[in-house]
Parts: sequence; structure tokens; C-alpha cells
Amino acid sequence: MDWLAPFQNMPALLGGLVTTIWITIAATICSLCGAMLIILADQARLRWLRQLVRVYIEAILGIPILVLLYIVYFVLPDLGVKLGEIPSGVLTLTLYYSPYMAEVLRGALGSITTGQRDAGRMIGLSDFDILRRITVPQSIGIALPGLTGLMIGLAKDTAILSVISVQEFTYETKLVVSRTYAPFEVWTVVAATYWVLLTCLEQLTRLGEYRLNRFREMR
Amino acid sequence: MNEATIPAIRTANVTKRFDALRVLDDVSLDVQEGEVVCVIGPSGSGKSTLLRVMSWLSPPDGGRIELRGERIGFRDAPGGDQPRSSAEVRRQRSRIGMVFQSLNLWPHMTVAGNVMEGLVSVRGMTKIEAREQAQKHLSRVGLSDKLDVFPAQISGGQQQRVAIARALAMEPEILLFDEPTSSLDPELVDEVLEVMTELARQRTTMVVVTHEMSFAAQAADRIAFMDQGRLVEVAPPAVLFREPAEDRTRQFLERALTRYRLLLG
Amino acid sequence: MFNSQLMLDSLPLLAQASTVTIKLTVFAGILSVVLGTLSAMAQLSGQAPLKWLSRAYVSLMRGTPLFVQLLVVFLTLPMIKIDNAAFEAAVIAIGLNSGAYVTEIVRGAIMAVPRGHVEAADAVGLSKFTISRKIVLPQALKTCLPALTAEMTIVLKSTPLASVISVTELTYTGVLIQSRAFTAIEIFLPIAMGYILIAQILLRLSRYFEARLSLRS
Repeated sequence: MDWLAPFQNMPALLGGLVTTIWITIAATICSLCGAMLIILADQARLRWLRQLVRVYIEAILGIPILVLLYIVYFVLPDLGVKLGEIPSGVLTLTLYYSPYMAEVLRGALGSITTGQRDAGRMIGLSDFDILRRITVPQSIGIALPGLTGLMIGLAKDTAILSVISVQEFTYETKLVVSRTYAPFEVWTVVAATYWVLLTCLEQLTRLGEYRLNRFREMR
Repeated sequence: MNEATIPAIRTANVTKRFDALRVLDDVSLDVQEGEVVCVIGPSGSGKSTLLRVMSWLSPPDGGRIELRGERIGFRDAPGGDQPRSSAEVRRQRSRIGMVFQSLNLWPHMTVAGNVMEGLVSVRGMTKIEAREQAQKHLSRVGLSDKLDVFPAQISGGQQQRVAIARALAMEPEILLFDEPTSSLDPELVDEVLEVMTELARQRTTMVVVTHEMSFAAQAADRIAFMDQGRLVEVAPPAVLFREPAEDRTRQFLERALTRYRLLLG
Repeated sequence: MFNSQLMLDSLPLLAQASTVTIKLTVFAGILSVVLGTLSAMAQLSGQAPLKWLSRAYVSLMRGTPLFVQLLVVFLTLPMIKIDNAAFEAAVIAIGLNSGAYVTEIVRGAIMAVPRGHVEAADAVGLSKFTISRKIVLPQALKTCLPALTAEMTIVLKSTPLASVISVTELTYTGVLIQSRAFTAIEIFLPIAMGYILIAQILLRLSRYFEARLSLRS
């Protein structure tokens, strides 16, 4: 067994890993923005806007992410929108994950009781102040478990982008495997790397949840 | 008009509807400065709605509310009623203090933080000044040692006392209490009633919706009985409890006071 | 311009390809539920090595991308002398992966069975095995049916990955047609609808079973 193969090809593999990481970060941020837009659209006065968003969400929930990727990558150019590989990938991830993140955010915001808001109004706080000082600070802690779970799913789905030749971790791995003819060794190291990073991420978020929500637990 | 006779809060011909149901039906009640009025009545009689309307949390459909002569929510103008801006309404509301049945403390802030919030965000005080004020008001309710704990770490009775301190910190002209002890465990009720009795003794203007008849009997200057959205009768406790003018009042009191008398054994 | 003729002409091929998708989903789904249930029972068995094994399995499946798992299984099968087994590799990989999530679902459902029922059966003298089989598992599976359906929908949405190892399911066929026709929307629209449709059928099936199981109890 050629266990040196994965380590001899570290530069290529690490390059792919770095791409995976920053695509994950970029797509997460975009999805959060998308989620907030979805929530705002729900409050919009224009009925057609609300309907449009609802159709979009229903569609996304039913389509596999690979099919969505192909639609973004193959159909959009037919409609005149030509995006490169990485933008297509980030867009796909964003379109796919925004509705889920919106659901989590909506649940968190809605869990802040009317009573807490009434108390704020009686003190004389403006609606904006109530959002800023009471609703949002609590919602972050409540939404965090759901959002980080989704982010971990998003990180895993970056591997799918390799089918449209985005040079992320999985793509680079396939190249290295075809070069070294040592699939088992290389994939083992790569899979282990994914596992270590994702498990660390999961543990970190659990720590974060604990610390953010400590004030709730104590009686 | 003679300054001395302007009521602290005047509710004039107030109506409120939810769909077809008339939750408040032509309710008029004046509360004078320094007076304690307790509102009693069966569930669904509109007592809590009355407080929400007085504080303009849910504006009425008809009638007017006046805070020391100043109309809340609207401005009287020769051409018709002009709604006040939301900033004005907010300022008016902050002159009224409210203590809720569900406590409604903000769980992500400490006790001191809860009391300080209005002072910092609305009155513009510095954190140091606000904390001093918070300390003062928390001492008034007997919780000066709990400044830096979170609401989840103290009992329900202590939480409600913090809520009272939070309302007091804004130095309101009138304090509204919406069944403040109804959601507390029985052994925690007294510590809250003690604070309220002390406030009454200090001549705080208070409107208290409550089921605690003993508290109403000894702390109230007048008791208002409401039933099905109407203000049936208002009288000092000595009169209302012994010789109610209305049959409905008599029926309610018979049931309510029997329970109370049974408790006393 | 939208070429509806192309869309109509592709439909028969796509319809046939969707039977492959359905077969993938069903086989992977069965594997997933069986594995997940065994794994859940392993965690609740109280035997440390079994617990550890199950936990390691769940952690591994959840800590790595499904796509990577699929490629690994596909590349590993030839090593044990099984060649040209793309369909089987997809079933195994998706089933293995989904089984980890089913573990959590079934474990929660088993723990939700009221202790009283188990204790009563024990008092009557039934063996632990019989208790599991006749009392705990049936109730648990009934409870978690909605969650299992959701998981099966996820299995369905994972099947397109098999297209990458040339399994002739719906997405693979779609990409094939697209690459020859040079136009995409006429093909991917029915494909998207196809997945939504199959998911709806899954949902109806599940509701039917839920209703039948409720009637029995």
C-alpha cells in the first residue's frame, strides 16, 4: 500500500481544502442573507412577492441539490445568465439552504413572547429598540443550533460541486487518485480529514450553544 | 378646571370589540392621584383588556383615555381627532407603569439589566447612573442583593418584584397591575402583595386587577366590579363587600368570598 | 425558445429512468431502516462495545460527505472482486449513510415507548427478545413514521449522486439528453417535477400506512 501518496500530494489536496472552506463560508453568509430576505418578503405588502417566495421555497424543498446545480449551471446560460463554476456553486448552495435557514430564524424570532415585547413597549422602547435589545439578542442563541447544523450540511454538500469541476477538496482528491493509482490510501486520508474538521466544527458549535444559552438553564 | 380634581387617569366611555364580541362596553372610570383602585370580576369580564386599553397597548375602538388631562393616542383638534405620532405615544406610555401576570422579564439580561434598560435606552442615562437608580428601586422591593443574577436563577415571586422595580424605575405617574400574583405558586404570592401594600401605603396611584380579595379589602380605596365588559359597580371595599348595590355583584362576591372564608376556616 | 417537442420526446426515456430512481430509493431505504434499527438497538442494549460501534458508525456517516462515501464504496467494491456494480454501490452508500440518521430517529422512538408497557410484559414473563419484537418495536416504528418518511424523502433526493458513477437513473439520463440536445430547461423541468412527484407519492404512501397503523391500535 502506498501510504505516502496522499502526503506527497499535500499541496494539491490542501489547495482543494482551502477552496472548500472559503466556499462554505461564502455560501453560509449568502444563505443567511437569503434567509433574512425571505423573512422580510413574508412581511411584504405586495401579495405577488409573498406568493413568489412561497413557490420558490416549495420548489427548493422538493428538488435534489444536484439537480438544482445542473439547473443553475446549464439552464441559466440559456436564459442569458453566464456564471462561472464557483459562482454557480455558491449560488446553488445559497438557493438551496436559504429556505431552511429562514425556517430556523423564523422559529427563533417567533419564540420571543409577545409579553416580552409588551413589557418593552410599556417602558417606552421603540419597535426598533425592541428588536435590537430584546428579540435579536435572544434569537441568535435560539437559532444557533439549527443554523450551525445547516452550515455543516452545507459544508458536506460542497463535495457535490466537484461534478461541475469546482476545484474543491473532493475534486482535487479525484485528480490525485487518478495520478497515483492509490484510491484507498488517498480517500482514507481525505475522508479522515473531512471527519476531523466537521466533527470539530460540531463540537465547537455545541460549546457555543451552551455558553450562549447558559442564562436560561439555571433553576 | 381645578388642578386638584384632574384624575390621574380617566377612562371615558371606552369600548373595544374583538370580532363580534364587545370586550369592553362603555366603560368609564376615573382614578384620582394617590388612589388605589382594585378591579375584580369573573374571567372574561374584560378586566385585563381594560388595563391594556388604559396603557394604549391595545387602543380602544371608542371612547378616550386621559393621563392627567392629556389625551392618549390622539390630539383633540378643531377639525377632528389627530392621531399622535408613535414617538409621542411611546412617551405617554412610559409615564404609565405596568406589571404583567406573565412577569415578562427579559431572560437574557440580569436583574439590574432589566431595571436599567428603560433608563438607558429611553431616558438616555449613562450605565453608571442607571445602575444607581436600579439599585435604589431594587432595594425598595427588597432585592438589593440580586442585582447581577439572571431571572432564571430567582423565584417567581422575586421575578415579579423585579418587574415592579423595573416599572418603578421609569417613575411612572400611575402603576397598572394585571393579575400580578395569578401565575405564582401560593407561597410566593405574599412577598409580592407585601410590596404592593407598601406602595399603596406610600400613596402610589395604582389600578390592580386581582383575585386576591384580602388584598383588595385592605389596600383598595375603591373596588370596581366588572362583568361581561361592563363596569357594574364601583365603591369602597367596606360598602361593596357588605352591601353591594347590584345583584350581579352580590352573586360574584358570594362565590368569591365563600372561597376566601373557607380558606380562613 | 422553449422546445416543447423536445420535452415531450424525452418523457418516455425519463419515465423509464425514474423507475431506476425508485428502485434505488426503495433498496437504499430498506437497507437504511434495517441498519438504523439494528444500530439503535445496539446503542440501547447496554453493551459497551455495541454502543461504541454504533456511535462510531453514526459519527463517521455524519462527519463525512455522502458524495465521498459513495465514491469510496464504488472504488472499494472492485477490491473485493465485485466489478461493474455502480447500482449496488449507490444502494450501499446511500443506505449506509441514511442508516446513521435513522439510528437517531428510531432510538428516540424506542425511548419514547412508555416504560409501563415494557414492565408489564416483563411481569407477564415474556423474554426480552419477544418484548422487543412484539411490543417495543411496533410502537416505536409507528411513532417515528413521519420522521422516517422525511428521511426516505432525503434518500430520494440523494439518488442523483448515483448519476456520477453512471447509474442510469433520472438525473443521469437528463444530463445525457441535455449533452446531445444542447438545451437544458426542457429536460430539467420535467426532471425536477419528477422528483417532486415521487416525493408526493412517498408522502401519500406514508400517510396511508400511518392511518392503517392507527386503526389497528
